[in-house]
Amino acid sequence: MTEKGSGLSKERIAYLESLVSQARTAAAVFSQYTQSDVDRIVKPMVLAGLEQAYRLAQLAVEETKLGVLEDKTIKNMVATEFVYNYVRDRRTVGVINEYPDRGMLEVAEPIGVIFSVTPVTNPTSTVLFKCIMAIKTRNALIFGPHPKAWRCCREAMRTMYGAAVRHGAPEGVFTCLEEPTIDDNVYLMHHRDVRLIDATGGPGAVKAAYSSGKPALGVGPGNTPVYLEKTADVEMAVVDIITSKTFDNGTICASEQTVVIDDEVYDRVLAEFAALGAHVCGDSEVKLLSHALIDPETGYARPMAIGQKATDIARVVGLRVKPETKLLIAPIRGVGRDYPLSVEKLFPVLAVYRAKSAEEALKVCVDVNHLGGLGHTAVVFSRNEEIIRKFGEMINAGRIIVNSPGSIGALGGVYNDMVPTFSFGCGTGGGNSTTDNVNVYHYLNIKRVARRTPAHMWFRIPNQIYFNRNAVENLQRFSSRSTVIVTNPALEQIGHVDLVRRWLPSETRVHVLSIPDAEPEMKVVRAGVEALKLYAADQVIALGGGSVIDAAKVIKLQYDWPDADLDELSAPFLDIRKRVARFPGVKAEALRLIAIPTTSGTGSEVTPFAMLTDKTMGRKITLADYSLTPDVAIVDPQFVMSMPKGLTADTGIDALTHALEAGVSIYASPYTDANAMEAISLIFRYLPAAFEHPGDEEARTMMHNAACIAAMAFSNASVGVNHALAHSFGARFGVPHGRANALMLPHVIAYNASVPTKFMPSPNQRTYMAPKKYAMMADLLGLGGDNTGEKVGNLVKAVNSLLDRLGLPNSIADLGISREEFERAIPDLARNAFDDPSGRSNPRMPLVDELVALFSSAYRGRGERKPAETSSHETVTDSVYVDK
Amino acid sequence: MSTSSVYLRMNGGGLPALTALVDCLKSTEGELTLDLACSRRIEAGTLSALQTLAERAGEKQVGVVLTGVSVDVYRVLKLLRLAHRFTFLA
Repeated sequence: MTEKGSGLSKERIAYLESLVSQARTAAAVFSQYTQSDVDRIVKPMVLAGLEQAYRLAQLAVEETKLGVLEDKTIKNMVATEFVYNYVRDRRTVGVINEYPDRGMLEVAEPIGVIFSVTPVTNPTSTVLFKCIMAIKTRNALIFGPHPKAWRCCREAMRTMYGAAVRHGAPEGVFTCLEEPTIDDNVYLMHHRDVRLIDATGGPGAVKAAYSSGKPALGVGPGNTPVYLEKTADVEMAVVDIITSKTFDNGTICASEQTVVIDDEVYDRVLAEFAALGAHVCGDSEVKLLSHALIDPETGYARPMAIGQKATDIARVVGLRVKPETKLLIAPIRGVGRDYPLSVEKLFPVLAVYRAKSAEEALKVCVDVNHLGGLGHTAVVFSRNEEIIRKFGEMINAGRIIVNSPGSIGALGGVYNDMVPTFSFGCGTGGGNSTTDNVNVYHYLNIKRVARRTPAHMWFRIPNQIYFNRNAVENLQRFSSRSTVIVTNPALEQIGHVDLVRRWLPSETRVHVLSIPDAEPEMKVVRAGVEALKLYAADQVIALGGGSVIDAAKVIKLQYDWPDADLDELSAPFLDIRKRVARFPGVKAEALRLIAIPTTSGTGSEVTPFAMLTDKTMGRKITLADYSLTPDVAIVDPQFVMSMPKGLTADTGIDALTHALEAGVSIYASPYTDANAMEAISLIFRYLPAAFEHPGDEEARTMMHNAACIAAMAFSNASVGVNHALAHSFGARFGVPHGRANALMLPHVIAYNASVPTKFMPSPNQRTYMAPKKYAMMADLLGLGGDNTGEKVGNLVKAVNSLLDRLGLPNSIADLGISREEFERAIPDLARNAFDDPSGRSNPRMPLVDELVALFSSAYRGRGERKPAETSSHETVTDSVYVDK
Repeated sequence: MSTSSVYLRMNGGGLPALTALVDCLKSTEGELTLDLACSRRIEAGTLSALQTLAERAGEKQVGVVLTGVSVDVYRVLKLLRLAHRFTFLA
């Protein structure tokens, strides 16, 4: 083959260029046509093709000396009528599909100029078929027919072209190479204005198409294995195989090549073949056929036999057969080069193999499939669904035809619901890009117009929340045979456990599991699970602060689902709805979890989160799933009246951080905003009083409610980078969570209120909302300010004042951590903060450098900023984003 | 500088007018303005004439300005790599 057609004469190149030029102009003009324009053209083309079906078949048989006139006529009719039946009502111009609930449109874009190689075996039918596809999709076609079939192809093309142009198609929309050569094909395949190659033909043409570097649909040879399994309807199978294998003298590449027959029915099948006009060859006849029909050098069938009648083949080979013989059956004992007739034979010679078992039969079919038939077609006759499925799994074929003739079945639309085609995609097994029956959609670029769709949102909280003084009395509503109270020793000592016991139903056996007052470790969880098993608990009451409630959540998870892998469940994720880890969900007979908080901060009684400490790694593990949410929350201020001042401050600021972060989160919604804003308002009003006057019951009640309300907000909107920083810092330096939050809070507000270096992708937000949200919070608190910037500044000042009033440390330095120690820790701190899932819902995407800068700012402290040169890290910008 | 202005109609006298303009170019210098506002679609004949016009204009260093070109027609000119030969005015 000449590289890129360089052996062509100037005249030939000019000829080829003129074809491309015509096609290019036609395609460009055609691109303006509407669906109705196109449909108006297609129908008369189809009618013209039908009218000329017989004549074109005649021309094909005369020119190629292959096949059967009647069958070729049928093929021409299938290529027009059946294909039209498939395409007539399909949209192929403009918007072709609409998916309103997905906000998606599919829009058709024509390809332009398509160079189409057509085969000698099905010349006119392939041309008719491709002409209909091209017009339906507004493309121009240049046909490169097989050199032994170009006249009949040109005539088929002219038939379609005449009808098309008479009904409005652009001139030059189809052209056909005259006296084509391989060099012509190579030249056109490499032409820059040819946009797609559709090669239906032998392996050479297909390989050349794929080697051209152009997008190509290449449909090459097959080697169809057939498994005739013992449960099959033998009579039907034999008729189907004969129908298929003799159709057009076996020229369709999907026709049966080797039939693997179960031993139990083998003799019956062969007798049936013989009865219906097949000649079953003896061993010597098989040898004769093999030598005469298969080239021992290439291993392929000799062209002289292709598309010839069985009797003609028998005569040439020297077999004596009855004059009415329609098929030659050649029993073979293996597959491969030693068994020449196991290859593709596009003529009415069929190999058969006797298989001793289904296992052997499937293996032989796999062998045939791999002997030149990968990706093409396979056939199974069986009534055993398991066998059919196994065959489907084992055989690599784009079309696996069940209980029907292979060739006609693969063409589609007659024996099954496959798309009618004259081009069989063979997938990567056949070096093709598709396993489909090639159809109009392969002649289109399908564009997706995707509208912005709001992400699914939610608001999920426990379905029972009891609050205000004496809410604990509601415990009597919950019947239980065996309840385990998870708590800590201090709470037991001050009588909280007794208060709970008092309101449990009298029939409930109560057991107390006292755990350390610290973030739970795995050994605590394991001990808890053992206790639940020991007492056959049906209810757990978590009485304590966030640590106790978190421990109870994880204990319940591990009790209900002992195989749940906490390492996997705590794997990092970007979006909770799409994460890799799958929580096991809620068991039908799950343990009831009632949470009674004894601090006003974490809100763990209503959240789907739990934190564990991984002491070996010096980090915290965050678990997040709604299956962790307690079933019942009891928010009774009796349990917080004795909270120490320091704890009141730490937990109160934790609650404020929850509300502030939920308010600006990318998952914020009107549902969470209502809760966040109310919580902020309550906390600014009541936290100082609860801190300064611990016995102020109203303040305690309101702070207890505020913490729970803030938690409802962040349970659904999540938190942000403040928590990511605090988790990382708290775990490394053993600083209580609320205090760690407090150290970061003013810096994070300033950070989120400034123009982001990177925006966080969020379909729910129309604009960068954080500064506006902070300004709304400032307005809610009556802080004043004439614009967003001033309001954000006033909010930061108010937060600073509150922190000062609660006696919280000004800076990380105030905790006694040396600058050297802190700076050494910063890379790990920033990395852990970046990995923390809390940051994923922050309104601006926290970059690692920015996390470093935030830590540095927190080290220096709030209020008066020290010069940046005191740190090796840059100060976070506090230029506030100003709305217009 | 002399300026010629021609209005094309797809189903009317657009193509002959354009052909005449091509001949006219032999003696014209400066800038030609073609108004395609009436053309929602463009046919092969018109495209061919436009291509010839662009070639002749190029030889004579005459600018060809197309006005009122719909996006559909503009896209066809882009597909045929003709668009760069013209100046487009809204």
